[in-house]
Amino acid sequence: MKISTSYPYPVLYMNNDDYQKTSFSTKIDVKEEFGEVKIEAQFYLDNPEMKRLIENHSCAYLIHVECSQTCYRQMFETYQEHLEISIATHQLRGKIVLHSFVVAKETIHSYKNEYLSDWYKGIPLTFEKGNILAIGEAIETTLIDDYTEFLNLPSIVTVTKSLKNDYMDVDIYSNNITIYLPEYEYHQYAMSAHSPLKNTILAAVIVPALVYVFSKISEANADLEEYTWYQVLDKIFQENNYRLEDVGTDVLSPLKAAQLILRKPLKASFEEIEKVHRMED
Amino acid sequence: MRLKFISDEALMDLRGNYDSYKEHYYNEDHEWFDNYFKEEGKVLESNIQFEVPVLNMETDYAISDKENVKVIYEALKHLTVNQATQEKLWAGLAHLQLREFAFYRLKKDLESKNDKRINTALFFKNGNKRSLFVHILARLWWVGYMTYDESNKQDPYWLTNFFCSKDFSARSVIFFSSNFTSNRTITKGILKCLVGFEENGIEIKRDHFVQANKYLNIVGGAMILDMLTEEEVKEMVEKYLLKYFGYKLDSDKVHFVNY
Repeated sequence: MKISTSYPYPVLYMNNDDYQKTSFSTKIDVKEEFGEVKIEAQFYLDNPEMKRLIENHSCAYLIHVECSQTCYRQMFETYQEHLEISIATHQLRGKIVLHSFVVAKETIHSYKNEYLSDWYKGIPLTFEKGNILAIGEAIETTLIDDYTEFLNLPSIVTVTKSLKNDYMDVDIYSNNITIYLPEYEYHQYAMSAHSPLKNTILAAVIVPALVYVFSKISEANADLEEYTWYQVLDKIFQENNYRLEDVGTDVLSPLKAAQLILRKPLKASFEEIEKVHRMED
Repeated sequence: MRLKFISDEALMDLRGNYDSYKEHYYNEDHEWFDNYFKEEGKVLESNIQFEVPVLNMETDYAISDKENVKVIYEALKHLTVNQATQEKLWAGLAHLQLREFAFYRLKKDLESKNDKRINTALFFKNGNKRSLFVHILARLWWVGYMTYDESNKQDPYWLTNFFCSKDFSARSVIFFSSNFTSNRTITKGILKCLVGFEENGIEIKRDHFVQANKYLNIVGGAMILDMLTEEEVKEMVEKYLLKYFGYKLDSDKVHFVNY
């Protein structure tokens, strides 16, 4: 759901000045447990007239939940300041977007509110069922598939054999990033798991592939957001106080991003080579 | 019997190396595919019960698509929506237990070597949501799921039959590309309005779907559409389309104003 920037009626919203000295905000917590996504919302409404409308059931607090990937779109309403929602995890997948509102449950004629900005003085206001009186916080959260080991990078990167190409290629239009290696390179790579040069081989393959991936993100292709690899990387960056959207801008180059995510792969690689050399000596 | 699907590795191999394998698709080379999937680790068995259904394979896709939506949805009604969004499940079925059907449905594209369509028909190449309504098997399930009306005990597929009566491929993509058609109450409200028009002799075309969606998109900017009941959505869309197309409602009968 997209939040509009302008409405044909006043809306109590932190991003506009339709109202003065009054506020609506929502604290939303989401957690996943035992096959259920549990959402807890606490509404903070500091506006006596709207509170009165909620008390007499002309308005309600509302949480809107949307998961585009599974075509899930539901709203949950309450007249209380606290709302608990449970949704079976199997109804959802990937990105979930939650919005909070105060909405009209029926037509409200001759609406008046002492905190309305002067601009609305003397203008007759009517709200129809479904109209929005106030907008609170919105959050986005991502459910990671059960079989995806969270924060385990190789699980979002698959290396496979290319039968035609003589050069490495990368496919990013899928839930996993797939690296295609020419046949010989692939077999060498496949045997690297127990090699003393494991990290070096990994760096030779994954670093350039990730630099490629990160250079694509900066092209601002919104389509990528829905893929698991994007969501996992997004979360890793957030937890390390970076933003995936910044990759490819002056803030963070694709080259540095790849090294951050792989935790200094060149260093790991040279340390390994040094060790091999020492063993040979 | 249990539902089989293909491993991530097999999926990415088939997707990524399509150019090397495409002749096997063109030639409908079952033997090659059977041997390919014999290799260890390529096929996985799920814990989902599945009896391979008999799919309609008439020459006229307009007939078979409509029937097959019901066949696939009935056979796999027990899938969770999360499972039904998995590429490896649908690509798996198209390559394994329902390969015969995949070749049947792609006959023209295989003959004309339409690689682009063969790819989007067998794999999820159009983005996660859009692919659900483009993949030749996934779209059957998803259209079934989105149009199934459990409130009609006699004929829960009455909206499905209407939706699939013609222009199935384009209709599925256009109609379900809107965010609000994810809400089945809204979807059913729109479909009920269009069924009403059709019962009154109006031939439903692609533009009816397009205009209904456009209208709700605009209205949805100022209100939470999800609060509306099916009946309210139906009435709103009806009112708008009557005006837009210049139809006149005359004692519950719809007429063209110009007629």
